[in-house]
Amino acid sequence: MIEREVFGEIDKDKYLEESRKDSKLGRELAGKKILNFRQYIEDSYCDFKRSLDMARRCQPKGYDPAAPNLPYPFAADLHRTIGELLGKEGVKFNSLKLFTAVSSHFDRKHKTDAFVEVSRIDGQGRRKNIVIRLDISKNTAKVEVGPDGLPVDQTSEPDRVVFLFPDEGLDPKDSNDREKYDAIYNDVATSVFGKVKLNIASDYDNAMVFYDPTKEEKKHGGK
Amino acid sequence: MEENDIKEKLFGSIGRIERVGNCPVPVEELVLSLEWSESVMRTFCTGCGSLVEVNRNLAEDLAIAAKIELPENPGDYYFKTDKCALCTESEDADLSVQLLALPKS
Repeated sequence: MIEREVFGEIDKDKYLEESRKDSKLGRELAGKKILNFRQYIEDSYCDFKRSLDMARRCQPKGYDPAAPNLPYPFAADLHRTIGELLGKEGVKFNSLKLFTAVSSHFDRKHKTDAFVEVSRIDGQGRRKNIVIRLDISKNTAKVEVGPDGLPVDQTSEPDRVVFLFPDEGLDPKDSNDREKYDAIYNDVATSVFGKVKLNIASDYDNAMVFYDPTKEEKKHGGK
Repeated sequence: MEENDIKEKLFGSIGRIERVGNCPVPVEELVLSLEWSESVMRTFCTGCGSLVEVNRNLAEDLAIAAKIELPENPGDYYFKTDKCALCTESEDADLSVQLLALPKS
């Protein structure tokens, strides 16, 4: 106690920081932080195209973007409904994919929780992908709610659909939740369909997001 | 339910990039301007080929792991690692980190 009063005290935080730099333990701690997925995503950044490409390559084990299924019934219902709507426009079902981006750079830095990709051949015979991004929001200011209490997509971005999902979740097996659950994925599917259709109609002249995935895969050493 | 819980329940969350190893450094991309306002430099993973911009927090941890002081002008350098959080599940994995000067354009 007397020493502290006479000589003062070192800055403990600075001391720990300095000792961390010089020690094996410090390097191990730094290594753990670098390899912590969530922390890495927060402390780093990828541009839009690279974030999209990385999300495509990092789908959950066992998840098929061309045929989402359990344990993601919402993704499966949404994919099927968009596919049915596009089918009426002559778009083949197998050209539609639904990818998750949750917890990725695309999510944390580019506000994209999932994205729909429709592979098409353009007017010049080139394969192009239309990408429509999905963003789930708890912020009602971002989403206009219609008279039926359902979210109405009104984002002006031609490649993005923002929608609300109840905080407490909805159980499609619960008859009390089913109607609202169905209404949400149908509403989102309709919004996505509208934006894909606009991109197709413009024959990509005004497409906001498109890229050649084969080129990306080659560049990153993919198959 | 947390917002992220809802997102994960609806769509699942992403997994790891496949680690192929010995990915070549994309030299032409290293010298591009940094896009993110928090970025101080880039790091490249030869394990999975990911090139990301990093903020000072991550740059300082990379410097500690590389047993060096972070330079005063970090934007003139980049880190090269043999693995990263995008391709490696275990936080206890041995990590090799090098600080290298950016190629002169």
